[in-house]
Amino acid sequence: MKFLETKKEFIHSWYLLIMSMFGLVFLLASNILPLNLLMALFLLFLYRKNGLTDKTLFKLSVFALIFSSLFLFLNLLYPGEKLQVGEQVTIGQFTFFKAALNNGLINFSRLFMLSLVSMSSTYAIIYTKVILYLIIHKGLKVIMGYPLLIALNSILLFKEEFDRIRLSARFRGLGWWDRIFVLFPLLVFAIRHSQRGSLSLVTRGLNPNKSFYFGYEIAHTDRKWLKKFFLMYVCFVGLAIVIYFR
Amino acid sequence: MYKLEPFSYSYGKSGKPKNIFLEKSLSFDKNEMIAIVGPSGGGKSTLLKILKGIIPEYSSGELVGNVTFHGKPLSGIHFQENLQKILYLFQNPFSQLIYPTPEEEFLFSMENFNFTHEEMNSSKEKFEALFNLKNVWGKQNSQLSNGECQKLVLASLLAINPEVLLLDEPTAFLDPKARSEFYHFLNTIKGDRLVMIVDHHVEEIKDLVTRVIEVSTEGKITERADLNFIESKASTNFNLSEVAIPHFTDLLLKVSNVNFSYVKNSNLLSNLNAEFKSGEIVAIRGKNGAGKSTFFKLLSGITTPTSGEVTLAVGKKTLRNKKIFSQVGFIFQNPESHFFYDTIAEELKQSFKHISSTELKEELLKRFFHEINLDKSPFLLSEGEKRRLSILMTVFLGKGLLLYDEPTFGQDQKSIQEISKLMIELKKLGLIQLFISHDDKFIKETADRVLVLEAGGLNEIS
Repeated sequence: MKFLETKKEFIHSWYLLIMSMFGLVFLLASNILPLNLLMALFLLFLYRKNGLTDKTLFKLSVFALIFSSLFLFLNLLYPGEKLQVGEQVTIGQFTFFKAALNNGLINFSRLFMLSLVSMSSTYAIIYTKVILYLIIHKGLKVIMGYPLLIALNSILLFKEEFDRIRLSARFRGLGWWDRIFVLFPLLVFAIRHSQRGSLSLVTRGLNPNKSFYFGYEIAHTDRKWLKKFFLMYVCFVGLAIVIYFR
Repeated sequence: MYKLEPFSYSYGKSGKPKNIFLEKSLSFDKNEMIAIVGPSGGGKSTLLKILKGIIPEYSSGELVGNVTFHGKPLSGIHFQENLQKILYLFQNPFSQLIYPTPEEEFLFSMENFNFTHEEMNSSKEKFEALFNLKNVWGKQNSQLSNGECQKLVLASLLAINPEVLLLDEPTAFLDPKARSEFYHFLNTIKGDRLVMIVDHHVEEIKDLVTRVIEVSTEGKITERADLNFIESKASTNFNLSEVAIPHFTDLLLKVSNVNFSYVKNSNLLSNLNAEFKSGEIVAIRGKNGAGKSTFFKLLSGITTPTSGEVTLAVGKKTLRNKKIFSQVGFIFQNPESHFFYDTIAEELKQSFKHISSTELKEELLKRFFHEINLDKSPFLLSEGEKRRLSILMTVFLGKGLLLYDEPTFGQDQKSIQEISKLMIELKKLGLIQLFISHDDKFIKETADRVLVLEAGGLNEIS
């Protein structure tokens, strides 16, 4: 990428955020698995186009799998009273109620899709672009937007500082009790960073009348994709309601 | 331009507040380059904040007296008026970052003052050449080295063409070439500007500065005739005979055919080979972003090489790559990463328990800190004091390999000399000591050998 060239996106991050939010609401509310799967695949397709790599997607899938598997186990170990009736199935040394197993698998699938989509969205959406778009085009106040920007961009700095503090504790050979307090230096770092960051905004001249080099405009194709998404969304919601009440 | 009537500013805890004060009026005008000197922790940064107007505008301390800029106070309604006129560069460059990428960061200051696209483009050309910024475009800000970050923030601030430049250690992380180019740049622009600089490279700025202001340990601000008074007297050696940590005689740190890369197919370090023996002090130099800190991470076992190996022989035992970790004392660039406890006394406890002599403990504290309250939080020390505390906390832990990442950042001449003396004395314990520094004088006084990291390789220079 050359200087003064913005990173090309398949879909503008602001629209992708809107689609993700609606998509996540659908995944949370609907228990019609085929529709959930289609919605999740569509969103993942957009994320891939927006820069989510196969490697990251695989890594996130593993995390989502672990998380949702834990939920499945909880469903099987502590099923609701209504599910502790009827046929039983044996898997290995364990016996479960079939109703509880089915319910657990549905919850597992929903949770897997929900967590995978939500984690992937954080990799595909450029939040800096979203905030700057909102400041330039939607009237978000700079006094709100820029501190938010600092907070979001400091996540990587926090991660690095956290690693350094942990390493420092290991170099010093501190015991497990002292290492618990690793969070306190991090807290101090966070407070000082926010203090310095806000001072930096002031001293570097942030003001409501500032100009912007990049416009972060929405392209015609972005609008087309958003329209397509909402058309699909309405169809999905309608279908889900029909199936649910049938 | 500036007029400073006698003033005093007190801040800190009510029990023992810290003061800085001026007894005789001072005025500063354009076409001046003023060096602000004094011991670290004296209040140099505080003085710069007063001159920017951050104090008392954004401070809980109390300022009594008049400080005016073009005849008007710096705070209140006038604070906003002077934003573009007075540039203030913080000591820690990372604390000024706002965006995730260097390009947007560079443009931020100019955007705030509504520069046109053409002006921004021409500034980009100018400062890209001056600070060699081509290497940072396309990276993430979190991936920048301290030096690269310092250049980026400096470029962004200088691009708005301010009348006054208040620079707090602007060259602390710059390599000698970048430093010399920066000083040359300051010299060319000072004609219609006022430059006030806190910088410990006294020898290099000596011929540039027109006036000298000292902020003493007590916080007293006075004008000095020149920088010659800083020439510190040679300090005496430390006597570490009463330090009860292992004495090493046969340590051997070996770097064999080491390659390392963060990104596939692009080696940051390639085919490194080196040996370091017991009792050696070796300086590692190199341009900003050359991979010096990464090299230290490899030596300490924090990261493992892509190929090749690092070994540390301790007697008959040989530790490889990550196993070396247990034998390492690491002084990080950011000293705050070292602090875990509420008080300085608690932080020092682990290191000082190996020192039986109370006199030695007292001497170390006295020579490393001008005045210290051990019950104070380490986070309340000045940047230079924090760095010295992190050194004292690490060197007496009984580790065979000590790695110092920029140990002299934020240090005055006296403190640099004390650090140097301590390191030289630690040689007698047989430790291997490696340090990264851009400070020529310190390297000359302290190091036995100098290695330079350039183009991914490691070369020894005489």
